[in-house]
Amino acid sequence: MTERTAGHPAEGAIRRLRRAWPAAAAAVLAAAAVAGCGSLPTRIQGTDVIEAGQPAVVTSDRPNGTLLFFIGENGRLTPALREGLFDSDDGNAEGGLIGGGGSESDSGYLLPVTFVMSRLLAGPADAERAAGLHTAVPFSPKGSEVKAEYTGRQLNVRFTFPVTELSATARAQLVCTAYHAGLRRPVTAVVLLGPDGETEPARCDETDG
Amino acid sequence: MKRFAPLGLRTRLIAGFLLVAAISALTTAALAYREARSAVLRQTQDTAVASMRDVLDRRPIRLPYTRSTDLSAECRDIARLAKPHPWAVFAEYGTMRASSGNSGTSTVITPELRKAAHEAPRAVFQRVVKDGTPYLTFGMPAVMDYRGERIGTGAVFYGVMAMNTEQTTIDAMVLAARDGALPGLAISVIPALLAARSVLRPVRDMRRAARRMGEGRLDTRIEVKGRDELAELARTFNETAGALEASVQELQQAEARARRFAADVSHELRTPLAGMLAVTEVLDEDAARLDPDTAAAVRLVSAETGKLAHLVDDLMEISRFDARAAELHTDEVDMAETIAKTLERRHWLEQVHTDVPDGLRARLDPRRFDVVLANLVGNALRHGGGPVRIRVYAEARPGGPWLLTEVADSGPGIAPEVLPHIFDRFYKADAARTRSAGSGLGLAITLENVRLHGGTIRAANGPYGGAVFTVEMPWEART
Repeated sequence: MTERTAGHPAEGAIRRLRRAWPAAAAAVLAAAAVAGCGSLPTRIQGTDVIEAGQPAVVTSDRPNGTLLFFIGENGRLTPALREGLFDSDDGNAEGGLIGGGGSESDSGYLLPVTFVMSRLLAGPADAERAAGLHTAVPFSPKGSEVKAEYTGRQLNVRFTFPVTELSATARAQLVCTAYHAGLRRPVTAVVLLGPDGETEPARCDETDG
Repeated sequence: MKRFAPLGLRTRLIAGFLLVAAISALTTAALAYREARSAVLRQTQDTAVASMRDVLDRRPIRLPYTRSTDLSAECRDIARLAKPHPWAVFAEYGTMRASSGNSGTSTVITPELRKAAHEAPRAVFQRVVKDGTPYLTFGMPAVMDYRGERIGTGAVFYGVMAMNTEQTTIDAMVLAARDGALPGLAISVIPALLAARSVLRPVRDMRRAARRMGEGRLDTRIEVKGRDELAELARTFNETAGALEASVQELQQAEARARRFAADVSHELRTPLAGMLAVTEVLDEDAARLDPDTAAAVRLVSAETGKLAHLVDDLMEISRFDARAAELHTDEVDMAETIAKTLERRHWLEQVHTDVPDGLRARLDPRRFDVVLANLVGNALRHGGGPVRIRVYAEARPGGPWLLTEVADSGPGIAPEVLPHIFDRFYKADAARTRSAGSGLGLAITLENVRLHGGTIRAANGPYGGAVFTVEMPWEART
């Protein structure tokens, strides 16, 4: 063919390329098909951790109990629900509610906070202790004064012991317990006050659902 | 001009068909398989995760879990309602470990999964292959609804399910895809063969027709079927063949007319020449009695008339060859005897040296061989000069022995530019010597005679000068 046309040597090369084109294309296609099939796994393979939607939402057998936060054996903040306060059939709770002192106009909202905080300060009960719970808050003698007040939607809780030196877990215990205790809800932030000063406004982030 | 031996058209067509079929079958099968596979896995995962969530949702629990037996009870409750097939349930709460079975912890659940389940309060899953068995592991953190707020309980439930059923399903799908694709490939050979056939048959017909035309049967035509490109090609082939046949016929007719004319002319010249020859013989006898000028003229006329008669004889002879009217009358002869007779008849015995084995016998036409030898020896004596040598010998060739006759002279030889034309009609080796003793047809007639025997003749120059003519003929010339 090249003898007859006697063209430039490059023409021969181009013609060879043109002739080779379909064969090359077929080879590429076949290779792609084979590679595509080969890459398909026939065995079930492992994966990374993948999200699979909402967590399970359980309820409590004491839906209106008192929610306290202690520290579990694994060092994490762990909730404990006690009977009382919000349980309508719980006489003690009523008593506790009434017994708590408070002169503020919205004392009806604040009484539960002071009541709940004093129960937290008293430390885990026997059953909770058996489950491995403990508290990071320094023990407070009975009758220790806890006062609470609202500044808008911010809840200020005043203690008689210093708060700025408290450990992060102890602060989290206090903030989360107070956060869920108030009757006026939602609360935007909790500030802990002590004789030594006050903490930054904080939220109970550890237990966001 | 072939760079490589290309595959046949049929092979290429079938390969092309198979390639297309294979690619489409594989692509379809692969895509379908991938979709089905992920659907199977997704459904299993979703069902398992959802069934655990269904069991736990709105389940009243007492916080904190004080005994691991409480946690185990939850695990067993969850495991009892496991879907789509049974799985083991594990639970973690603080440092507490519980499970639906006997072992407290799972060896399949990875630290990553536990970390993710504890950190983000969302359901997570992970497929794990352990010892060749694929497992679905998933973690479900429990959050508590407390007066409209969600509080992490710190409890995480895990499901561990072997995916053997899913693996079986996927294996079955692979098998189904393969079993579906292979027969498809096999079936695609049939249309490939049919397509190849429909293309190859006309091509084969055309090749056969072209070969027949090459053999001289110019009336060959192809049957034109259909309206496709191949039919168009066949039609063009037929038109070309028709045109070729017409022009070849025209040429043959013209040549035949020319040959018949030459034959007719020489035949018509013969009768008056015969009369003239008779007259010139009488005149030759009487020339001695005429005055010298008239005698010279009479002798010239006589000689030229003789040459003319010789030329006409040669023309008639060659016309017979052209008309294929020449016949071969073979006889078994003794070569030495035949050659000696030829030389003796022309009084050349003294000038020619012969080298012929005694008792060498061959089958040939003695009259035509005589013409051949006389022409060659005559030429050698006339143009080359003595001594002239004749050598006869046999040579073994595939298909039987051949008889070779060599006539060599001691002259200057033949000029190289003349050699290719030496057997042409009326070809004069020396352009200046336009009037030679021969008719100009001698070697042409010699060649025709040798050809009639089925042989050939070669002209060359010997190693020591001098022209060498070699006649090659089959030992037994066939008529």
